[in-house]
Amino acid sequence: MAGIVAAAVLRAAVGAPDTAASMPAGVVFALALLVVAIAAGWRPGRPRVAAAGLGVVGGGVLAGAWLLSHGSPGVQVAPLNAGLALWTPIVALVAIAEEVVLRGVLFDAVRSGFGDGAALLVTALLFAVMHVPLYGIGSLPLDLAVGLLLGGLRIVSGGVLAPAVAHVIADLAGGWLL
Amino acid sequence: MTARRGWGVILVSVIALTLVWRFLPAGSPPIYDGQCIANPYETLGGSPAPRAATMTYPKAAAFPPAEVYTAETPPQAQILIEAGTFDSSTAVTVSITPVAPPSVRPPSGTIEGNVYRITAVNAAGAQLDPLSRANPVYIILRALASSPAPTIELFNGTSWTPLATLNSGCGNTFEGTSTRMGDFAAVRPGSGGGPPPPSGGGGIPIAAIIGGLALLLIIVVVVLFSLDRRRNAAR
Repeated sequence: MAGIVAAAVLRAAVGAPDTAASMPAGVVFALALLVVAIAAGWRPGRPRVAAAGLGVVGGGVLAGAWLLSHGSPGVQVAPLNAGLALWTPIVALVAIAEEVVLRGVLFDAVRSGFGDGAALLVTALLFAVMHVPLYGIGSLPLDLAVGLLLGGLRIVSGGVLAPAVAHVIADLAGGWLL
Repeated sequence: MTARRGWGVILVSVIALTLVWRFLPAGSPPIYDGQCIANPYETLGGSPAPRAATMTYPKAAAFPPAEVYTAETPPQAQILIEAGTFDSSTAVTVSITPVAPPSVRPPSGTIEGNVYRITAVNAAGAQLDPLSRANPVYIILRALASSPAPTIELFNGTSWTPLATLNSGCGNTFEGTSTRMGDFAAVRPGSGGGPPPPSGGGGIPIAAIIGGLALLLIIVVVVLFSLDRRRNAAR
C-alpha cells in the first residue's frame, strides 16, 4: 500500500502541474508500480485464453457503458497521429501496472487475511481514490464502479489477466473513440 | 462458489456503471483512467492561433443532441447540447470563437486562457438561448492549471456570472453548466472578492450524488458477500 502511495506521489511530482496529461509521469508511475509488484513477489503467470476472452468482454462492457450513455450524435475513431501512437503503449503500460499491483499483489494480500469481499472493496476504493487527484471528485463513483467490475473479473478468472485486458481496452477506448 | 460471487459483483457493477453514467453530467470525462493527450495551450494573439468552430444544424422537429468543439488536442472550447435545447424551426448555427477579453474583468479572479464567444444563431440571424432552464448547455473550457480549480464564468456584455463547474480531467479542462449563451472563460480564483461560485451541477448537489452512489455500491457488495457467507455457513 505504501508503495502505491509512493508511486502516486512520484507521478504527481514528475507530472506537475498537469499530471493527467504528462506521459513521462505515466511511464514513471507504471514502472514504479511494477517495481513495487516485483518487490512484493509478484511474477507473471501463464496467460489463459479464457481469461483474456473474459477481459475482452469486460473491456467491451466498460467501453459500451460509455458509448450507450454518450450524449453526442455519433462516435468516431480518432485519426492516427504521432501523439496517439505514443499515447497508446503508455496508457496500456499504466493500465497493466495498476492491475498487477491492485488486482494482483494487493488483492492477494488482503484476500489472504480478510477474504474476497474485503479484497474487492479495498482495491476498488483505492482504485477510485487514486484517480481523484487526476480527474476530480466527479470521477469517484465512476472509478468505484469500474474498480468493482475489474475486481469481479479478478474473482471470476482467478488471475490478473482478465482485469488487465479489460482495463487496457477501456482506457484505449477513451482515446481512440471521439 | 467464488466464481459465482464474482459474477454477482460483475452484475452489480454493470448496473452501477449504468447508473453512474446516467447521473453524471454530460461532458464528464469519457475515460476511466489513462493518460490524456494535451498539446500546449494556444493563446489568442500567439502562434499557432487558437481555433474557432462552427456547426450548422438543419431545420428539424427537435434540435438534435450536438457537440461542437475546437480542433486543438484536447479541444480548448467545447459545447455539449442536449436534444431539444434550441428552437429548431429554422436551421441553427452554433459557433465557438476566441475573442479578446472584455474590458470588464471578472470580480472573482483572473481569466485563464482565452475568452470564447459561444453562440447559437437561427436562419434569420437571431441569437438563441436554450429554450428552458431544464435544457442547459455544457461549456467545457481548457484552463492553464487545475489548482486552484478555476470556475467557468459567463460574460453577458455587462457582468460576469460564475457557473456551476466541474473538473473534466484531461488537460486542465473544466465544465460549466449554463442556461445562456455568451462569452465564456475559465477564471482562476484570486483577488476580487466576488460571490463564491456555485458548486455541483444539474441542480442536484454533486456531493450528494457521489456520496449516495458510493454508499450504494459499498452496501450492495457487502450484502452480496454476507449473504454468500451465510449460505456457505448453512451448508
